[in-house]
Amino acid sequence: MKLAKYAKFRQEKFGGVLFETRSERVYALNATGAAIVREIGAGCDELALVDRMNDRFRDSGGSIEREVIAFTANLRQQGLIEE
Amino acid sequence: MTAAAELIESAPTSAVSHLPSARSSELSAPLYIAWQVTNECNLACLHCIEESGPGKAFHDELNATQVFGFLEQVMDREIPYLSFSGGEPTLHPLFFEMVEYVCGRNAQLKIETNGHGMSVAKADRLKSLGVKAVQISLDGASRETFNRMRVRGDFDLAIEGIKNLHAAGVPIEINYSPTLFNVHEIGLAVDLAYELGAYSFYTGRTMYTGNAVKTWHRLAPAEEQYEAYFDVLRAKTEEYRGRMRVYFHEMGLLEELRFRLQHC
Repeated sequence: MKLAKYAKFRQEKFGGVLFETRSERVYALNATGAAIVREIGAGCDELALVDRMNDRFRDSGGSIEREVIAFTANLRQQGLIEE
Repeated sequence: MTAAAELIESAPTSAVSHLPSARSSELSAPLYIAWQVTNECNLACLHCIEESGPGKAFHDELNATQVFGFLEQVMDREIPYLSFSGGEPTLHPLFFEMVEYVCGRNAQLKIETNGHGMSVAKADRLKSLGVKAVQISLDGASRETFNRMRVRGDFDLAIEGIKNLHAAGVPIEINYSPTLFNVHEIGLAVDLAYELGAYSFYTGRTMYTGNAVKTWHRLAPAEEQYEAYFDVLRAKTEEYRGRMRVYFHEMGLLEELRFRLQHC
């Protein structure tokens, strides 16, 4: 899993922005979304991503896994990440 | 997690989209820079907003040290998307070095050119450097209208440039400025753009600025012509949906500025 060819990420104080330059769409991310996208940009796969977010946010209820999966599915649907 | 991850999409426009206003004011740097790298041009178009032309390079255009110093600042601020235009950007003596630097720093770059000097070798080089897209102005679907608009220009050279880019595998965008003498060709121009392999087609009202101020009486379509123009574009948008994106702005320059001041 990696950022799509035309997707550019930049960290911001509020979280981050994802800019899909082919469609010229811009997406704002909150801090959590930015953390996930940063890991994806670093080449992290989905399983490792869940582990890292669990470590970072110390969740034991399984909500992180659900949120990460839903969020990455959303990114994939928008063409912002690819395998 | 402290908060659910969220993905807030801005509305796309024919130029670069704007974030929701609550976010755009908080950005650490722009997301897009359009740089008119030189005012020199091989053409002298009737509607040129920069009044570019042969011998029109500004006397104080940046030298090599300044050019790369500026680009270094842009890249260090992680500005992800740039365009080089002009004038004719490919005439800049450092053009390919600038392209190489920007693409080498992993930013996305669009070149806005008249395409007249786009040889096979240049197109191949742009492909190998990894430009995001090349936008070529094609203000007419025929030699007669194109050459009337693009003074010193040659429809066949523009077409050849587009074909060279397509053969090289460079993504192509077509830009079209309507006038009273080419407005009727819009449908054919969209079809031609698709046949030539473009993935996007951009147009809107020709702006009353630059050379157009002096030539407005020869350029400006009547309002009823514009109505027919945008009707065709609406139909073409549907016809090419999923194959080529057709973007168009119906607002004029002043109307759009007024809208942005009130709503953005």
